[in-house]
Amino acid sequence: MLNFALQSLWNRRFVAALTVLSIALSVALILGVERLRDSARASFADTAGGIDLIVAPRGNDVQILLSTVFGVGSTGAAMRWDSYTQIAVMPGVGWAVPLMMGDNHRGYPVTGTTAAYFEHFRHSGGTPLAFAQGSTFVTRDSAVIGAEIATLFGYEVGSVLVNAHGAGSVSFEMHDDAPFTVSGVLAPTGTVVDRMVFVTLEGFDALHAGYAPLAADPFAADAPQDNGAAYTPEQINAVYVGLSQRTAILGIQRALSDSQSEALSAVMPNVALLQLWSITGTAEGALRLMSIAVAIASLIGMVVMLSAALDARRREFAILRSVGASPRTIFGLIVTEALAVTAAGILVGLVLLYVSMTSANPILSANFGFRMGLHLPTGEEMGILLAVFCFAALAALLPAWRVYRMTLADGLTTRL
Amino acid sequence: MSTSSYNHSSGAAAGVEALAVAIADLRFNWSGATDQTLAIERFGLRTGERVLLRGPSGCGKSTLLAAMSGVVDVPAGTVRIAGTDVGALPQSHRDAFRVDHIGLIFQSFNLIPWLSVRDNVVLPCRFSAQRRQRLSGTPQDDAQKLLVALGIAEHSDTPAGNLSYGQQQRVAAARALIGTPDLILADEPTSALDPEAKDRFLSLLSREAAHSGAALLVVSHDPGLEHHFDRVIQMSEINAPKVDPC
Ligand SMILES: Nc1ncnc2c1ncn2[C@@H]1O[C@H](COP(=O)(O)OP(=O)(O)OP(=O)(O)O)[C@@H](O)[C@H]1O
Ligand SMILES: [Mg+2]
Repeated sequence: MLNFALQSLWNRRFVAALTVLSIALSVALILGVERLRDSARASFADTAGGIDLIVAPRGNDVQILLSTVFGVGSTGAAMRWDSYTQIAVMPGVGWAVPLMMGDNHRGYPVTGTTAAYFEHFRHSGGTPLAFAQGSTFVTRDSAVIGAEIATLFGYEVGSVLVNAHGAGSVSFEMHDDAPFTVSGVLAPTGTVVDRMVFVTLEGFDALHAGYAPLAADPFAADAPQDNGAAYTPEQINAVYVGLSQRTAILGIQRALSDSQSEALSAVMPNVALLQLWSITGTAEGALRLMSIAVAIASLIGMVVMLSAALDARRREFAILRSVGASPRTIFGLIVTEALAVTAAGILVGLVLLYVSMTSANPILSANFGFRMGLHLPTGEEMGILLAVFCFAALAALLPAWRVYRMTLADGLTTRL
Repeated sequence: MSTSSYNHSSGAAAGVEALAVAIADLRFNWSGATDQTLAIERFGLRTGERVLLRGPSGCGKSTLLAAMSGVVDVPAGTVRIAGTDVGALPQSHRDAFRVDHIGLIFQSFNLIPWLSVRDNVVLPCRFSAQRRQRLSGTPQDDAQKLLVALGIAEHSDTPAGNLSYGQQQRVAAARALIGTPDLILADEPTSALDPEAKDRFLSLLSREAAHSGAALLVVSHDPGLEHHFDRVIQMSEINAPKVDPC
């Protein structure tokens, strides 16, 4: 029966192939949207997971999170260095890392920070940053780069970078006067860190101060090995805080909001992420609805294909009945054809999904700092595929019922 | 019901076993039609007998064939094929019964065009264990033998749709014959063929039916084909429907 159904479909392979393709597209779309969403969320959570609090000039939580952790959007106002030193000694604070932002290198965000960043930053469920090459800052003109920046531009330890001011990819004002030398390359993390350039606080300030750095040549014999650790800038953009005591959060938040000196926000990344997802949730819902609509349309297309062929196939059914096929057998034939088309559609759809994920990943990773996992379908995805399959079986009942009635009424006497 | 009462045309006292078809007191109306289509007192076909059925258009020949093959509902006790009361069979058994006992040939378009000639011929074996059991070899081997006998063996692997009408009818004959059913019913199998092809087709069909031992009932309007048959019957001889006198 299956064999016969396949042969019959092969006989109508053009239309059948189009139907398979439309089911494949809808399957790839449904799963693709889910994977994109899940990967984006997982990647954001991975990146922000190790930070307990982000302290920044008062503003919108989501915006602070995006601009500090993900380098998306501008960081707005600056905060005083004093505030950082105060936060660092607050009770319950385990570590605090100052951050300066707003520069880019060839379109990739540049962050001014201290060596403590590499020590304390955690990603992907608690993994610390590791150096694939070199080490943290050795002079104040050192730069540490993410794995992707290194491969993208062919940088290695010792390469000299020139930054451009502003967070855009096109920049008119080049800081030729403040070059940096790569002191370390981070191992890949699969997060936005791979696409970041880190420089010292002093180096970052130097970009803006416009003075020629003293130690342009790090190997100059008399240059003191000053890695900028002692440098105190006037202003910074944000502080990452790790708590030694989880319960300290409320106290710190209260202390900051009561502070007379400066208006600051203490953002919990996980809370801000939830806010972000509730914002994007509407768009995700719309996308999912759309992909379900496409799936329904493609299943309707299949019903149309099967139904349209019924009249042309009356003779085929009459012949089958004359050699002993019952109306039920022919009913089964139509359902089998529908299921074969759907199964093929699902398989082609999976192939399409993996092919398009493979080709989309470089773009996603370059623009958003995450990749979609090329793992086998999860249980939930299998559930979605099963649902498509069951809906197809249900939809096939319509033409199958018609053909059942038709073969009963026609018997063997169809006249052509 | 006495078996001898079916013995209509022959003086020999043949039992049920010797009758491929036995019809008694068959009345049939198409649903919705006021006129009776069939009213047959007695009609029988002995095993292996070859009969040509004639009659004007619309007199119910195709309907009679449909009644024999269980396509239309007939009352229980009116139609027996190879000893089985077709009217008493539940609807769901009739398709299986048909393929087990009857080979059918239509006027034209007998074949599934995208299946190969050989695959068309073996179709009944897919659906009937009885037909498979009566084969002498594999379905493919038996099909090939029949195709050789009918002179179209060289087309075995061609899609059936590519053959000429005459060739297609011979493939249909091979399919009706495979697995030696008790009865072969052919409704105007030659009407799409030229006179020479008609004659050749019927002589092949008749010869192979005799060879397999199947009874053969052919409906045809064409003159000059009588010599292929044991008997020629006019529909009017057996069918006397009451016509609504309005
Ligand atoms: N499916 C049907 N539904 C209703 N009435 C039918 C049907 N098929 C045939 N009839 C009627 O039954 C009568 C006999 O038709 P049938 O097809 O048996 O004639 P026939 O002898 O085979 O004619 P022909 O030589 O033209 O094939 C006709 O009056 C026809 O209108
Ligand atoms: Mg007819």
